[in-house]
Amino acid sequence: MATPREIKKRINSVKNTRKITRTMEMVATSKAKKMSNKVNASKPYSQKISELVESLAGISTNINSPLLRKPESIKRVGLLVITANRGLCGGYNGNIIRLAKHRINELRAQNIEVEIYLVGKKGISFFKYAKEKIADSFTDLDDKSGYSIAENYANLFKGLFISGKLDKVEIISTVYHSSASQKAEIIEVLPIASVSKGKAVSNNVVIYEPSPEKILESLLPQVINMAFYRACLEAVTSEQIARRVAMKSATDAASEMIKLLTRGYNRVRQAKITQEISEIVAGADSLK
Amino acid sequence: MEKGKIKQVIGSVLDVTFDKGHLPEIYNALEIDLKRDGSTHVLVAEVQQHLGDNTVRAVALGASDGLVRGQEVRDTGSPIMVPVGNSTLGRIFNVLGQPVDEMGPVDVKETRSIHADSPKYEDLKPKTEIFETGIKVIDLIAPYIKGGKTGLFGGAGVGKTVVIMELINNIAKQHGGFSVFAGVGERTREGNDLWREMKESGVIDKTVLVYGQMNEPPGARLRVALTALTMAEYFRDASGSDILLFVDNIFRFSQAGSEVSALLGRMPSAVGYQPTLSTEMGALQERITSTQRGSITSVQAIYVPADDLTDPAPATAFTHLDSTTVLSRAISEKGIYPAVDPLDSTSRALTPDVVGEEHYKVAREVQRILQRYKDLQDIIAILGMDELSEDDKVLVARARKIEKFLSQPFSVAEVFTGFPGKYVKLEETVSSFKRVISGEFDHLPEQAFYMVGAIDEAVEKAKKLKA
Repeated sequence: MATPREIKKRINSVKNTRKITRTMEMVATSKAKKMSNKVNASKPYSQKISELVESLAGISTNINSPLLRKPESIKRVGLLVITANRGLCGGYNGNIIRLAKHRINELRAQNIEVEIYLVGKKGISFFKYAKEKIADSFTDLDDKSGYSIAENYANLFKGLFISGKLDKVEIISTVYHSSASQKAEIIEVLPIASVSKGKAVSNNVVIYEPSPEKILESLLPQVINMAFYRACLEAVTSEQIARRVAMKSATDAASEMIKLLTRGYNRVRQAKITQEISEIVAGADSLK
Repeated sequence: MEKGKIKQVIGSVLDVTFDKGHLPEIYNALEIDLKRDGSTHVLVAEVQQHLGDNTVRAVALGASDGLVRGQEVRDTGSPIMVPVGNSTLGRIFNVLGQPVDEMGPVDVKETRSIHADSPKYEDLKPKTEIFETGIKVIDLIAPYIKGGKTGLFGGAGVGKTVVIMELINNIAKQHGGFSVFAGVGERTREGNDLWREMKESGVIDKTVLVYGQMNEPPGARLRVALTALTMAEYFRDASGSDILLFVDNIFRFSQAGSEVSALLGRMPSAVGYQPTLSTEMGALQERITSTQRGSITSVQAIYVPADDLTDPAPATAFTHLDSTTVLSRAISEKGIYPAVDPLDSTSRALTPDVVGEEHYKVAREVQRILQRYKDLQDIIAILGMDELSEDDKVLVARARKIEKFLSQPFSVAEVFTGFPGKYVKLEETVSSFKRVISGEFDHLPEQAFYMVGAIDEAVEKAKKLKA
């Protein structure tokens, strides 16, 4: 049985841990709030841009953009795996990594080469541990980063796609459906899918100048940028939400542990007192 | 024969006055004729103290009800003498060396006093050699020593008796020499079960059973271990053979000492135990030893009150042992049997010189992994598995498998578990664990390691689980 001092020491250490997790929970809560506002604010723009692309695609006849390159067979896929730089966010990183691993194996089974691009220290350390070849990695994505970082990623992949080094680009990240539901998902960004499906919603009121084709060609890079931006934004938001949830349950678990330890402490303490009393009484008795 | 008169009776302690100059010596046996239910039988008491005024204080080794002040007491002039030798084999005795199995009188050729000095220092045998038990966790973590003393510590209901029965099953049945079993203050039913089982398997002819179970007064429980030990010592000294001595449960010896201690007028010491606790334990334990002539390999179950290993009774026993097997409640609650705590159990033999480099390394690595798992448990409890590093995740998974793999089905528990018992050879144990810690079986599910023998069975079980 542990001595009261040992138990007390453990209670104190758990209490300190709880202090930290509670603080992190509060920080994550406020960050998550801020981030989900950002996500919601970006929604109208990205919706409009894809609407515009669709309608333009419907009325244009001859689109000529390197981003619409249709490879005959897919030989090489670039995966951008977005994880967090920090842990303490429950299954957030684990889920992404699991999905990425699954996807990599799936693609390799089809004899497709996979190039792994990583965002976030957690992903980097995992793939290093798994001894996978990493094409490139970034650690600059966090809750303060803006559009420019997403644009950098987008430009990198656009270049690789246009030059034919990659036939397909997918982002594996956590998608923010609502503040209560986020899921690790695979998002296909290149080649662009929406253009081919575009239905002719010609708006006669609008007169395009220059031609719809020209506009579309300059708009397509924007669409890609936006896809990357949204993915980054949603990933960071989901990370904060995951952290909030994880820290909340950690705080609860610590509280529960403190409760049990305190109970044990009181029991040991009381046992000690009882024993000492009975020893003193017995000793005094036998001296009579 | 000197005669005295009872002066005072307090429970099982009695004061007897003798004539001047005819005081019996300490440890002498006194006899009192006791009439009960129309028949007369003899109550034996043992002198414990000289009180002065020609009075001795003695502890009754049988039920003391019916004693009257002024009753006549005879001094036998010697300590309790018990029969020893081949005629004791196959029989059950009580503390006084009387047969209690209703199989007629014992053909007594030689008797010995239950009190004797421990063997001299120069007679002791220093050799250390491993004693295979067939129980994985014991052989790996806390190997037993031939001619050594082993303690089996455990709180109430964690399986001490089951382990000791399995050891009897594994060792005594294969063992060529004699075995002595001392039942001290445990359940009478278990004594009966063991006797029947031994008769069935035929080992009874090489076994002596000595019982002073919980139905007996403290005096009997205090001395019954000595009776058994005396019989074992005779085999060691006279025939020079290797003896197995099982004692279940040595704590009851200390407990009985504490029961009579206050009645003898001693002031209680820590936790209410007798102040002579370590002296009594020392006198008993020092005699259980191997000499140049022959060896006594002893396995003693030791009850741990309130699961507190620092309690004075188990703590004093600790120091005398070569190997300690600690059964833990936390492990038995996980359903892992035998509930041996691999981090608390130790053995003097677990050194590269005795068990060999490989065994030592494997055992220490197993302990390291389990210790690390234990250290991580707080983190897992608060933050969850996801926060562990990749290395630690692998380690935790492996630790959980090792934990399960340390369980083993017992022959004696077959009726409860439904698994047939498994005897695992030492080399198999070491090589199995070596392969588990190397990560060779990381792909198998945890459950496959539960209640199996050697590693091949875990692989088999994994296949079955998959199907």
